[in-house]
Amino acid sequence: MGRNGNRRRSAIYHITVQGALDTAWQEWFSGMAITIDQDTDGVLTTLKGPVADQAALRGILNKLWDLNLTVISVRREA
Amino acid sequence: MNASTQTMPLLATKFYIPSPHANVVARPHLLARLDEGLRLGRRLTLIAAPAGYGKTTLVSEWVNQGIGESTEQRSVAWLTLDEGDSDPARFWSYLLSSLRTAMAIELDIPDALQLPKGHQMINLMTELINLIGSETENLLLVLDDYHLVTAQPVHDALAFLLDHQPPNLHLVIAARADPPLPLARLRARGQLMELRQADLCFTPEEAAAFLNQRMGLNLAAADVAALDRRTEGWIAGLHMAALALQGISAERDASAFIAAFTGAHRYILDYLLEEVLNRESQPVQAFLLQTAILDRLCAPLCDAVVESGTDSQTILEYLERANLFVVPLDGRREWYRYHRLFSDLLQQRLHKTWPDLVHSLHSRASLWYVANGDVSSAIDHALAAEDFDRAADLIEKIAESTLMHGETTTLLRWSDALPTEAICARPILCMLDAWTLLLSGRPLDVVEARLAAAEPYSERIPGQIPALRSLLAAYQVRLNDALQLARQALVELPEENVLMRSFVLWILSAYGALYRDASDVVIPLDQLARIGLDSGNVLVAVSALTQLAEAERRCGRLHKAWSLYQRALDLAVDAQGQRLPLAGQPLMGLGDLAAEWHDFEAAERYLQDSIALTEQWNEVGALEAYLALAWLKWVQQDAGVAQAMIDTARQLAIRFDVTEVDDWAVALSQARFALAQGDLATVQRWLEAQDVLSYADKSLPEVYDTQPLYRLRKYELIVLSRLLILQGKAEYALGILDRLLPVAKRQQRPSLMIEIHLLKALAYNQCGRRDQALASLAQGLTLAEPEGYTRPFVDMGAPLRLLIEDFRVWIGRQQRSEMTAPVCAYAEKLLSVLENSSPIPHEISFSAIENPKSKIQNQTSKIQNLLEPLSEREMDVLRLLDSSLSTTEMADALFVSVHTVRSHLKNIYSKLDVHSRYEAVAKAKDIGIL
Repeated sequence: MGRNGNRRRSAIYHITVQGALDTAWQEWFSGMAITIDQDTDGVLTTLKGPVADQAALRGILNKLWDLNLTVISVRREA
Repeated sequence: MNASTQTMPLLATKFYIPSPHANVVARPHLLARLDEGLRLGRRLTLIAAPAGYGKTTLVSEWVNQGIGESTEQRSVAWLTLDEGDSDPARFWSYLLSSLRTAMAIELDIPDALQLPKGHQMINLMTELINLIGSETENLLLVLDDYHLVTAQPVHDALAFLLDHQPPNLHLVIAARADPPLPLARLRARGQLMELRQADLCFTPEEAAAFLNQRMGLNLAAADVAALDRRTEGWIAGLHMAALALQGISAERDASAFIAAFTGAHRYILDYLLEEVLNRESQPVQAFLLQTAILDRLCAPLCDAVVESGTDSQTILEYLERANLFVVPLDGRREWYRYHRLFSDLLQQRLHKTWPDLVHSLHSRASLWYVANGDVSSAIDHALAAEDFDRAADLIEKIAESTLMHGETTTLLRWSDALPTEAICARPILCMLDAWTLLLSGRPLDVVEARLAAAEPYSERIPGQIPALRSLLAAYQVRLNDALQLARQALVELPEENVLMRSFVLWILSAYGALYRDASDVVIPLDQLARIGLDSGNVLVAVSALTQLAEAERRCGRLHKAWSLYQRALDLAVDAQGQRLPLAGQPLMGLGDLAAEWHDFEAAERYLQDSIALTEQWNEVGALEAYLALAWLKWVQQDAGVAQAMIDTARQLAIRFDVTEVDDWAVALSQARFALAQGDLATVQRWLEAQDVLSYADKSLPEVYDTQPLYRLRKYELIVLSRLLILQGKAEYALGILDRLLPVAKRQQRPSLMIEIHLLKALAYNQCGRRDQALASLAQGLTLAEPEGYTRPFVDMGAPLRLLIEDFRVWIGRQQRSEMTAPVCAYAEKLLSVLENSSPIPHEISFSAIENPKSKIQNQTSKIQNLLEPLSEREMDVLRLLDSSLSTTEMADALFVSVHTVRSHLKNIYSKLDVHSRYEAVAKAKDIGIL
């Protein structure tokens, strides 16, 4: 059935936070690739990588919040 | 012994109000707002901000310095929550303990841990609210780290508390995220005092006081301002910066450090941690990194984990003095934990600095936990250490008790973390894992693989392989095999293997009832439920109760079935209070009954919940719930969704290839849906495919009662009769229905009998035999009235409604008797349902009249007149008081201990202000609650 068809597939997420996060944190965030960009808003860090499901996404966001990082955007690759 | 209850340091540390700290900056404006919240009589103070904004410090400061303008005396109950408290029972017992610690009065309320599992918190909360409200003492209840609670029953209970809060209680919640409580409502009603991130940031003045006075730095105003800007007033950031600066003596160097720090874009704590660590001695640095893997620290545990011989107690106390983000968990300097932020930073650095050390640290922690009796923590550390052999040995030790408590999720988490070889090399673990996998609905080939691995060791695990194979066969509806294997298992299994024996007994009882020759081993289901409860085997207890409920439902004792399903549902929760996938079975039954009683909203909710849970367990199990949902949808005129539900069910039936019964059930549903839609061609085609006409003219012999596939025939004949009536062939239909009625009677199927009477009524009516039509209708109504059947009436649609209206007029002319009165009343009720039927607005739904749930609600509204309302459970006991049952028999009937019944009795007597059983019953009847 359609409703079950893609329920266990992971998706690629891009999560952007304010400030520069050391790439050494990569492993901490389930191996998501960390890139740092200079933007008009200042320095931004983007974590990019596969996220297994919504629970995993929530876990990652919680970790970011626990480090008091400000989340700017969360985007899922189509 | 339940592994998850072994959480050693908790009790001592959870109610500890953090003591005032030497380095705290006075925050009078925030304390004033906290006071204001009390003065204005707000119900809740919420302190919500990310880690490191001084939430706990602020509240403990407020509490320790004496709340308010000191005119008001308040007792303070403090509860620090952690991840384990998402178990409602555990939360409740901690809440009570913290209140008992704080209040001078005695709280005579049952500890939820002693009650049967379930959703009792609201009842208990009512008692608690009454108790607190009857005291003069003012009370402040602080729940710290509330974001760690994820159990909905806990949120519900707190929302209830906020709605019914006595004026002498004030609640304070500190959390990193807004709790799922009705905050908007509280805000709108002016019942909420909030302190949020922006309020908690250090002002530049506070930053200056903190850095220069408390942390003993001597920074220039410009430097302070720069730090405050860079950290945006985040206290943890300023704290870390201060620690880094403490090692710098010259003012010039400090300014240079600050310039470098504020100019860098790096994440603040990354930058600062390096500086802070570099200022510590080598042993302290090593200690910090190596103990970062621990959730809680105590000196003996740290001694065991840290590499070189360190004096952990000295270091822990030094860390506390030096403000290095350790939080004492008690007043005895025994248990500590790192501030969460700091622990994250340290762990991350540990992985970077000593990646090879991580495993051995976890191994040592695991060994220590084993030696100190906390196997569950030991397993987690052994798995983190990837020491799979040890982990497997440990899991094998407690897998049986974990499984008995229905904690399949925990077991699966562990066994999923193990390599297959580690499991397969241990036949006992292998079998327990196979059970867990099967009960969790994992694919059968994985279960088979476990069985194959255990087979060579079958002598070491006597009876276990046939036991599991028996359940497998039962799942696949190979009932003869299932029963034969179960009997073999029962002979081979040793007496002490209570877990497996109770599974086998369950299989025999559940499926053996279908076969007369199996009666020698069949244990009545109620006894089996008892065995399951007594041995702590939730799986068996829930399944047995559900099956018992099914049997009651089929025989037409719907209200009895309802309470059995409820009981099964209450039991089907794990230690965290989450519903087990097993709960899908009773939920399905409740949904079906709610639909029978025309409470469509509740029915849909139960069925959806059932599907969600059942699909985790065993996907095909949800088939019945999909079909029940389909019915709900088509009578609500939502044909599209109804068809989609049937299609989903059909897919499931096709995929589940071991039996044809499920395919047949889907086809029957499709045919009934087609009947409702007036699509007679489809019905005709199906009936032809079933070859119904070949036996429609014959009377059904008794073999049709015993052979499962023959038993289904009667439903086909019902569909045929309905079709015939729609085609105007009423005489033909009557012949079939008359032959069918004795079969339904013999098999004790009241719902089928009602359906037959109603069809006969329609058929007679069509033939113009009006008196006989009304008499048949009266028979249907008489059968339906006591238990409140509505579905057969809804199914027959408009023609039957007209006939009931006729009936009303006709009976109006007859002489009223006691016999006919309830039937007339029932006809009225049915008409009010049917007239508004499709779609039925919920307000006038039938359930509001007949469903036992609303009966209970009516009772509770009466009970409100009592000073203290009786809980639902106390009502259960009260009802039994009006019988000849002894206390012991009441305990058996309610599946609780005698002790619990006695404690309920005590409460009932005191609430009713009576002293004996006789008085209690009389008074209860007098005030109308019995």
